[in-house]
This record gives sequence, structure tokens and C-alpha cells, in this order.
Amino acid sequence: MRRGEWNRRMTPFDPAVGLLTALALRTGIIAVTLLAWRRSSVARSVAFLGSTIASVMTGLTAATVLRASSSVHGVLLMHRASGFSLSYTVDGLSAWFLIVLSVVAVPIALFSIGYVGHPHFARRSAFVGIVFNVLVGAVELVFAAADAITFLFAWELMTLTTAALVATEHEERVNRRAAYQYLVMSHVGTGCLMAGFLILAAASGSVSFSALLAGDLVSAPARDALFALFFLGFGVKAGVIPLHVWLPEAHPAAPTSISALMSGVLIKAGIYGLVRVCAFGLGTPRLSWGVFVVASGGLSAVLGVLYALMQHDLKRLLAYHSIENIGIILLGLGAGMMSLAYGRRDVASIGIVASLYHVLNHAVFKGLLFLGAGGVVMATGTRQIEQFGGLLRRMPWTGLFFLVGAMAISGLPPLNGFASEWLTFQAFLFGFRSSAEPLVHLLFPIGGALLALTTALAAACFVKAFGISFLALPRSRAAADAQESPAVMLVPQAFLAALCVGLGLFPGVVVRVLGGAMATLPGLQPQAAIAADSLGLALGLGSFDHVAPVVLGAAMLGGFAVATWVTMRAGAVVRRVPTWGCGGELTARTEYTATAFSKPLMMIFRAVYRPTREVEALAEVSPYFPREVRYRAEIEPTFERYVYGPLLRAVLRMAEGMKVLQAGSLHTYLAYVIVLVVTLVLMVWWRG
Amino acid sequence: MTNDVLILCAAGMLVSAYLMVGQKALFTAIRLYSAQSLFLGIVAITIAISESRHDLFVTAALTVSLKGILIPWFLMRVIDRIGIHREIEPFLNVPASLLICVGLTVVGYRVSTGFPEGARGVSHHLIGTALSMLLIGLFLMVTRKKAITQILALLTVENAVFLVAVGVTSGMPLVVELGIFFDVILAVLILGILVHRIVDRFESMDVSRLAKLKG
Repeated sequence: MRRGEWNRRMTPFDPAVGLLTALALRTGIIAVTLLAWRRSSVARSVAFLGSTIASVMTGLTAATVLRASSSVHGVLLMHRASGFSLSYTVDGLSAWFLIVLSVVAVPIALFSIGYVGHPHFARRSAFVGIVFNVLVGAVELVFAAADAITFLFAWELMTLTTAALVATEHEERVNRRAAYQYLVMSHVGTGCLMAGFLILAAASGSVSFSALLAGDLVSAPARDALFALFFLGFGVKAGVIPLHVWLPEAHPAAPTSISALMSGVLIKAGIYGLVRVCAFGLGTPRLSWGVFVVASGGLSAVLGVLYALMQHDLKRLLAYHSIENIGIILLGLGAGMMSLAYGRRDVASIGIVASLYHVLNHAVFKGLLFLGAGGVVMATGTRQIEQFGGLLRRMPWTGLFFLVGAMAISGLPPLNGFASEWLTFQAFLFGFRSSAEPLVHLLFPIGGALLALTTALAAACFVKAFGISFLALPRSRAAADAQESPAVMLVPQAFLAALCVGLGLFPGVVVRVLGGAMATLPGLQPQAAIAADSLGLALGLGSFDHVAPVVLGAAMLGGFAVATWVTMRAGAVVRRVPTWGCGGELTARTEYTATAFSKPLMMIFRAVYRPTREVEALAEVSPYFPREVRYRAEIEPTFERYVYGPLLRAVLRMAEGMKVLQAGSLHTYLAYVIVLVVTLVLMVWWRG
Repeated sequence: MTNDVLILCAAGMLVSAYLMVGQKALFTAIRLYSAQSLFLGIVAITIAISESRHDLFVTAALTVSLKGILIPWFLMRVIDRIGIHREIEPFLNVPASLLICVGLTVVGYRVSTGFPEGARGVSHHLIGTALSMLLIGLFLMVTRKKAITQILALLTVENAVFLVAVGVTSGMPLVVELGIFFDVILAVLILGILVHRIVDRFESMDVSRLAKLKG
């Protein structure tokens, strides 16, 4: 049977219409949900089940495109008179990101049926359902857009709907503030994107991506400026430090299923832009761009995880981990861009494969972790880790899935985080070994070291997040009374957890699929660089160049089994006794707290955190017998205080100055008009 | 002959604009606007006859009936209702205003010579007149405080634009002209109502008091 026939038989619909059908379906869903506005359970089911179907369709379209290594083109809207059209293209790269989106959007939508059904959100069901559909549709369009106008339209739609969802619980000032901050920062970013696309459009005389992103359209300094504009624009969305400050505010403010989508996919829209435009759209990347991307990636990774360590709000902690993972993705991308600049296609391919692989992995495990966090937050009514404890006994399934996610994000084999981080390491190590350029020799070891540090710190952070939340005794009434989430919320988590395992065990399959995506990017040779059978990866570079997570996993399990067997053989007797409480009563107050757990790291990285602490002892009789001791530790919000503080003040000062123009007097405004008209008339005089 | 009539009417419109600048009594200002609109009507009729463009008769009829009669009548009624008859204190006194307006006319005329001559050979005079009227209208809006005067100034600007449209290009399509007429009527109605509201709130028609609304 020929390949084409097989494809046609495998997919129930033509991929050329798959995306359009999905978008049309979403429109229909939105209409029906609007009709069912008052009946929240109907609205919920229609919106989220419908979204699942639409996402599956998009995912199938993307999978077909990837398998056939072809691309699908189409037109969304055509204005006949002017010949202006909004068009889309699903090529390899788009398809990869569409798959990432679908893989996460399906479980999130299912989870939302249960999550948004909670009395806390139920009355907003229709709102969340509708905006969710608009949002996912907008992201699909962002990934598929084939011209700058469609792209910017979808991009703005995505930004606006996200802001609306962040402000779902608009009664609370914090949430409104987070949404506002997100809007302002995103619009500065979009402004940069518009400027960049307009410059390119002026140079190429077209708005379609195939012309805009064809490469060397402008001179070298102008390319540098364009890179800066696009990096700023996409970096804001991706949450690259120091453009990240909206992220830890917006993620906790949104309903958890939306946070999962934001963290899993929305910030990846920034990565998509960086790959599509900065790395492959402006001609061969210049060396300085690669260096810049590696540097900002390293900074984001390390600072992201360091700040995450100090968070005791579960969702904020996860949000900072998103910054960290964006950093890891950028490290791979930056290594790839530097290698491209040096003409090392093999290293470049490894770096880019690693970063795209990590895009999917991060979406899966961060989606899983956020969904788990959503279940926990719903069950306990708080986001503070210090209030949890002992949840594993009360929510065993949530605990299990959260543990899988925590292990994956910590990069433990055989889970998926390991595979992509291993590839990123290989890009750095192999690049270092096989090239003689001084910059590579300087930066690649540093990049690798930062990645190693990041991974280790992430593991520490998730030991804290899992241990303090799920183990030991409950620290509050709420945690003690927690109930396991309903099945509709657990099944999506199970799905994502299984994906974490599957994507880790079969890295070869993923890399082969990625080969289809990479084929559309100029200057790469992934197939040659990474030979892969289903279970393992081999780079063909000599020693330590291949890995098979399944073997590593088996070795770990085997070692554990052997150790158990040896202990049993040695005649160890299992004794079951109560935990020793140092002679006192065993309560939650004797437990290790999250603050205490992260304290040593706070001391080690004092230079970064610049902590301030306050100890206050309240004594009645003698200072030696305090009745109550209060401890408060804060880390300095460096970027907020030293970068955005001065910036904000400067903007406000300017606004204050502009206020003079806006005097509120009708005559002044009219005077502006007449001055303008007379000036224009005089200009005509001088010209003519 | 046709050209002489056109230039005479345009000059009449410009003179009425000047008189409006020099006038403090609101009733007289409205009558001046009425006269200005009548001149505009004559311009339209002249062109309609000389080029046998029959749709311009409709335009002329509408100009005379709406701008020459209906709008002035409505504005006078507004003034009667609120009982304020004089522009008391403009930002600039009359002699200074007239001097500046002369300057604006010079600018407008000088610029108009840069335009290519139209078919009739009068285009440049018409454009010069119209530009001067437009600038004078804007100037009136800036320097006068009474809301009624500002409405009149706006209508003067509108007449100037119309003069160019009719006199130089032999008129826009009738549909467009009808649309503009409706716009003008609506604007005057709304502004008239607004004047009532302003007087209600502030016990005065002085728009500079609107600055108090600013937070």
C-alpha cells in the first residue's frame, strides 16, 4: 500500500479542511454556549466537550501534516475587491506546535468540566467556556497564520482573551491588577512585533510570511534591530527574564485550568515566534543573537528556579518553574542558533530538536502539575503550601499524578523531562568538544553548567512542593478535610501522566516525528544528526552519545529490587512502630515547613535573593521565655524594584508632562486643530 | 458673466464671514450665516444653469431651504428660549481678530494660487475664498466663548467646504450631498440641545466653563 493511500485511509477527513472545520466548530460552540448562558451545567458541557472535539481535529490535522511531511495552505477570509486575504499554512513547525496545543488542550478541557463546575466557578461557566474556546482557537490561528496580519490579529485575540480569563474573579483587586499588568506588558510586546513586521513588510512589499521571512531582506544592522524588536515582542509572551514580571502574577490569578493552558501552551506561542522569526526568519542567525539567546536562557532558567524555590504559593511556584523551563528551551535554541551561525548544522539540529522536544515535554508535565494543583487548591481552598500536608492519604490519585509530574520536571529518567534535557546537554557538550571557536568554548560549558544547576534546584524545589504538600500530617483543618477530586478531573491527569512516561520511554519516536517539523526549517539535518530507534537516541559521536531511558529506568527499578531482595535475605525484620516524636506529642507543628526546607538554599544564594528577615519575640515576663515568636523573611523583588520601578516612574513623569496638553478646555483643543490646519496649509505653500 | 456671478457670490460669503467675526449680537450673526448660505445657493444655481447639471438645482434648493431658512430659524428659537443675546467677552477683541483674519485670508489666497486652474478659470479664486473662510471659521471657534457662536463657526467651515465641492468640482454625487445635509441638520439639532443642557448646568453659554468638568 502506498504511503499516501494509507494516510488518506487513516484520517477521517481531509487535512486541508481540518483546521477550518475546527475553527467553525468553535464558532458554533460559542453560539450554543451563549444560548445556554443561564444553564451553567449545559453551557459547561457544550463548551468544553466541544472544545475537546475541535482540539482533536486540529491535532489530527497537524499529525497528518507531520506524517506526510507536506504542508496545508488555505484562506480564512478573502476581500475580493482589494485582493486582501487572511491565510493560513500548516507546515512542519506549525504542526508541531498545534500538536503540543492539542495534547494539552484536550485534557485541560475535560478537567475544566469538573473544575469549573465547582460552586466557586459554576456561575461563570458560560463565560469561562466561551472565552476558553476563543482562546484555544486564537492560539491555533497563531500557530497556523501565514501572513503578518492574520498572525497579529490572532496574537491580539489571544492576549485579550487571556487577560479576560485572568480577570475571571475580577472581584479581587489582585486579579484585576494581574490582568492589567499582563495587558500592558503584552501590548508593549505586540507593539514591538508590529514594528518588526512593518519594517519587514516595507522591505519585501508583501505581508505573507513566505515573503517576509525569506531571509536577507535588510542590511545587517537593520537585521540586528529587527532581532531585538522580535525578541522583545516574543520574549514578553514567553516570560523570558527580565520580561517575566507579569507571569507569576497572572498564572495564580487565572482559574487553574487556564493557568495550565497559559503555562503549557500560551507562553510557547512566544517560543514559536522566536523559532519561526528570530532563529529562522531573518536569514542565518548572527552569532551575537545566539549568544544573547543562550545568555537570556541561562538567566531565565537559573533565576526562575531560584525564585520558584522561595515561593510557598503552589501556583506561583509552578509559574516560576515555567520561567525556568522557558530558559531551558532557550538554552537549546540558543545553542542551535550559535551553531547555525558557525555553520555547524549537526550541533544546531541537536539544539533545536532539544528545545522543540522540551516545548512538548514542558507542556505535558506543567499541564499535569497545574491540573494537580487545581485539584488540591479546590479540595483545600488555599494555595499556600504551608497549609497543606498529609494530602497523599486523602487524595492518593492526585498525589500519584503530581509525583509523576514532579519527577518529570526534575529531569529524572525514564520520564520525559530527562530526554529533552539530555539532548540539550548533548548539544552543549558535543558542541564544545567538536568545535574550536573561542565563544563556543567559553559559553557552552557555562550553558551546560547552568542547565545542570537548574535541574538540580528544580528537583530540590519539587521535593519541597511534593513533600510538604502531600506527606506527613495535615497542617490545617482544610487539609485534613480534603476530598479526592472527581474522576472527570483525575482522568485527564492520568492521561498526561501516562504521556510523561510514554514521551520519556520512547524518545526515538518523538525525535522521528520532530524530524518532519525540522524539515521545514532551513539549514538543519536532524535525521543525520540523531539516529533513533523507538527506545533510544544515538548521536553517533563516540562515547556517551546514546541513551535509552527504558534501560536507565529498568536499571533503577532493578537496583531497587536487588537492594530489597538483599535486605530481605539478610534477615531484616520489618517493624511497624509509631513515628518517634522526641518524647513529645506528634503534631503538625513539629513538621518541617516549606520555609525551613528552602532556608539553606536561601542562605547559599543570599547574593541573589538579598533576603530581609524579621524576628519578633513577644514576651510577657522575661525575654528568655517568649510567649510568641514571629518570623518574617522576604526576598528582594530585584526586577520589580530596580528595573520596572524606575521605568514606571519615568512613564508616569512623562504622562504628568503630557497632561498639560489635555487642559480640559474646549478652546485649547480647538486651537490645536487650527494650529495643525494652518501648519498643513503653510506646508502646502512652501512645497508648491 | 457666469464667472463674475460666482466670484461675486464667493466674495459675499467671505464678507459675511468677516462680518461674523466683527459682530457681537447673536441674532445678527445668525442672519449673516443665513445670507452666507443664500450666496452659496446662488453659486449652486449659477453652476447648474451654466453647465445644465440639474441635480445641482436640488442641492441649491436644499441649501437655501435648510441652511438659509430652517437652521437659522432653529438657532434663533434656541437663543429666544435661553435669553442670551450677546457675545460679551471674546478671548480677542474685534480689531485684533479682524487683523488675524486678514492674515488668514492672505495665507489661504496665497496657497490657492498653487492649485492647478480648473475648467472655468475661477477655481483659484473659489479655493482661496473657501480656504480663508475655513480658517476664519476655525479661528472663530477658538476665540469665542458662546456655544451658539461656535455652532455658527462650524457651519461656516462646512459652507467653505461645500463651496469648494460645488464651485470647483461641479458638485459631488447627489447622494453624498444629501448625506452631508442630513449630517449638518443633525449636528445643529444635537448642538442646539447641548446648548440647552450647558445653559441648564452652568447658567451660562460660556463653553470655557466646561473645563470645570475635568477631574
